[in-house]
Amino acid sequence: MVQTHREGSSLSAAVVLDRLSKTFTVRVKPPGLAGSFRALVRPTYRQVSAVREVSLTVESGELLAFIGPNGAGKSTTIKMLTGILYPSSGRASVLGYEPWSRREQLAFFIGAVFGQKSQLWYHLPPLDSFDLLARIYELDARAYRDRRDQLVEAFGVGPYLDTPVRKLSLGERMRCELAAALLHRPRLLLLDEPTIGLDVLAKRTIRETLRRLNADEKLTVFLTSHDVGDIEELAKRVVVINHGQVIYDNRVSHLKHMLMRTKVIDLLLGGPGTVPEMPGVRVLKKTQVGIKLEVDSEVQPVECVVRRLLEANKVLDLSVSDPPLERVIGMIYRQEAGQ
Amino acid sequence: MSPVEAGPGRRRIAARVAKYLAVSRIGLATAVAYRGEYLLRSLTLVLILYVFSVLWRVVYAGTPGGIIEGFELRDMIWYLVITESIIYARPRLAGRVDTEVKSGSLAYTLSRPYSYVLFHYAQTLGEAAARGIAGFAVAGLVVTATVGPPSFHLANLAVFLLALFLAATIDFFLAFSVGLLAFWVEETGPFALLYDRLLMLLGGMMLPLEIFPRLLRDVAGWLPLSMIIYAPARLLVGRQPLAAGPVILAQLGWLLGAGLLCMAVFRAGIRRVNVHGG
Repeated sequence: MVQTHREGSSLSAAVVLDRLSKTFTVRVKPPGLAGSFRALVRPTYRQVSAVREVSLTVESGELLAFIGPNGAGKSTTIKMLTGILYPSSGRASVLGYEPWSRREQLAFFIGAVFGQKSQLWYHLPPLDSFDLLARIYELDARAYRDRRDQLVEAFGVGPYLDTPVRKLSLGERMRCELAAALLHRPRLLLLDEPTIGLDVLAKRTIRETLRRLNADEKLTVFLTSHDVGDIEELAKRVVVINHGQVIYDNRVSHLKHMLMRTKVIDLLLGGPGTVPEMPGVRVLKKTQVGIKLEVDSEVQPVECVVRRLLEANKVLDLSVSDPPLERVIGMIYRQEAGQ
Repeated sequence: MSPVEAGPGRRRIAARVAKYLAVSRIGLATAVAYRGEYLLRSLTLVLILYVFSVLWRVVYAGTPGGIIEGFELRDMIWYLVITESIIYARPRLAGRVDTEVKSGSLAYTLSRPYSYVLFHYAQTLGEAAARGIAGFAVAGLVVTATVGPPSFHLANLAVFLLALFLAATIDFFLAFSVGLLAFWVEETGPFALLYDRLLMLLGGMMLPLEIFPRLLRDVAGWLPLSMIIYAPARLLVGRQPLAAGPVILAQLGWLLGAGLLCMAVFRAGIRRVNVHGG
């Protein structure tokens, strides 16, 4: 069942999806040489439902994380939002435009970054790409220069502007990609894995700048990422999609609290430790000096577990924490799969 | 920052033209990004021309009067300089759409505020100009040194340049139509190879159409392929150059046909774009 906190659309919505679906026809090739010949003579196809009746509203200025396992339908949804994919059924409105029929007009108002692809010209320095994009987006020359300088400073890419893109590191390139996507002051930014493979510093720069732009310019951000840090630090709302369907739609904080029946208890011990037998308590890790437990608080109250542990052990330090968001998201995937 | 607020007609049109000119400039800059490779690649033309020069010398040595279908040896070699330069200038267009579909970069190139077809057209013209000029310059220098300077019909120079532009445009529309097949099939290589080979053979890259057997000459003359290679070259080279008017008219006709074909293929294909997955 979809867990959602909002229904219908609103006048200030940046994105409205209404039962949007996309089915691909995929050619099936049996394995081996004989299979190749069979496929040559009599090709067979199968239908793949990448996105199934997704309904969703994203308000203007919202920072939304759109997450799901590989093959869940995230990228396909983003590509329909940019207008490059036609849906099989359903409707979508992005900033008031139907994306696939008004792709060129819509393009003036949206920016996109696909983490595993580049929009910069590979053999040329980023500055050349920026200049060309300014022309493509028909930007006024002075306004473009001001905006470019602002983004160059925000993303710290000044030193690389004259270096051919092929010679940039992944982190340097990705920061340039984001600057390129924001040059024309889009109202909606679509990010598909923007921090994939980046180091901590590059991620931090990107997240901080996106947060600032979201706050200062009311930039709507639609983000897909497998990086929990992106979701925790950037998004206020999270939509989980799996097998092409929305399975969860709520605030990030709610995501954590709603599924917070699980707590993690860490003990630092002054001697050998023992864990009393209690239902709802699972030992995650046990060493000479410490124990890590997972407690299902609906089965066993946390305070009860803590009391029993303190009675049975010489405890030097104790902490109770929420499970990492990663595990929570994993739980949602598993719940949906009926595990 | 919204697009240039125009008053609204003229500035907007100027901005639109400017974007495609900027794309052409980037195409040109990309083609010359590596100076060494840029010049070195032109040398492949010299090798091809050397082989043909040797072959034609043998043929002409056995030809009484030293003229074949109105071409002296020097004309023939200079005809080859032009036709080979035209072929050399062509970027691998069909493979480009294929690559965009397979790599997924289509997600970028298709989601910008321009016509996808015109974007590639502008980029192709820029690249073709850079490659064509380098190829013609290098090959021309070498051929001048070996068989002497050309005896071009310089009165036709302006119309030749116009014909070259039209030829590049017709070729773009046809080659891009082949490339757009990537929206339907997984591999456009065989189609592109077929088009390239037909262009080289029936377009008159190796031989002027006058030397073809009559039937083949008639067929080739009716195809747009000869308007891409043979016709522009024959405006400058040969004892009796082609009349400019009919060539330009025929090119305009084929340009219209090829342009409509390309747009139709694009409109049909865009609904079938299949770039699922990250």
